[in-house]
Amino acid sequence: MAGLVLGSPIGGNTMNWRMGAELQPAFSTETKRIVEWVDRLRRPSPASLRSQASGRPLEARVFDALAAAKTLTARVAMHLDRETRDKLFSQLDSLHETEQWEAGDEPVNPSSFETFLKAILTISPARRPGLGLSHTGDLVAAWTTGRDRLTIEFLPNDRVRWVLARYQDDGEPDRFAGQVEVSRLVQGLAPHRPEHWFSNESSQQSPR
Amino acid sequence: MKALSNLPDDDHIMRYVPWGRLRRDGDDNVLGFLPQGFQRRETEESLSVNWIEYFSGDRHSQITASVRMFRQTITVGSKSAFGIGHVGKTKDVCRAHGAVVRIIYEPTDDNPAHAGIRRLPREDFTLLEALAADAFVELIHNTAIP
Repeated sequence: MAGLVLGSPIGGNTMNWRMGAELQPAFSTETKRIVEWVDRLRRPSPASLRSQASGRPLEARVFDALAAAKTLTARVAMHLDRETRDKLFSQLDSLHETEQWEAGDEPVNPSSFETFLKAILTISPARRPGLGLSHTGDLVAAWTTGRDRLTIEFLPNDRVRWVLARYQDDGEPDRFAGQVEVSRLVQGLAPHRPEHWFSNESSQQSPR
Repeated sequence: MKALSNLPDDDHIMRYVPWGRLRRDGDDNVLGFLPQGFQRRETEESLSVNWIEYFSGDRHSQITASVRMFRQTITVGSKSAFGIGHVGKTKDVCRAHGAVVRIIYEPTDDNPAHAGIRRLPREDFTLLEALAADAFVELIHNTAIP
């Protein structure tokens, strides 16, 4: 699908993930299912899972952040195969080995992770991305095909920013970037043939 | 060289990039650097790097010395890596994205090889991606340096 603007303008907000009743008959079963998944993610996290700000020991904040991320994943776990879920948790754990951190690094922000899950559920890439973490705790996903690169940073509150580079025959890259609501990520990437990164037929650059 | 002098365009700089900001594939194989590895923090005036030619010897010796200097002055994660960029190329990449940067010798008490990239926009994601892909083109794994 070219995009996932599911909201009828409820209160004038077309970015609302709720599906207007009048539009439901027009959508496929799969689309309705996606809306249900996303709606589950919008439910407030229990207060016990919200990572408190500085003042708590780092280990406690890391524990809370990972617990929040895994709880959020559990809400949509039935729609992720076991291998994908296990690999995601493994990647998250790897990113939270604090002995690998710089001073001042923050654990994954639950709101950023929520944005990530929404994006992954709608993109549904065949290829798993590499994951990274900004020093402020925003999750980053990277896909690499040869020299071509797609990087998406998942910001809090359903915002994403992305940048991609496609290298031409002369060795020079064309770069494109955007910052959108996660519900419009697919639309934003559509002109750039995202299957170049998301499909299994893409080859990867050899590790350095 | 005097502090706050521009580094020569033909020289090289080294950036420390921790594990979480290395570009990896879905199986955690390291492929390069994420743009976030070149984003300075809000509290930083410049992006910290080492000046490789501060050190004497052949190139391998200079790189080794620079890595060891990092290990003396910051916490270097075992799975981290270092990016090496040519000073002139780095400035060209920034200029191509509308940023006129200065790469300046900024020695500290702890690190006499310290330098900084000044006037680097914090939030220009396209520029940071270009730095990661086209400026800092050489990657040295921390594990490769004894």
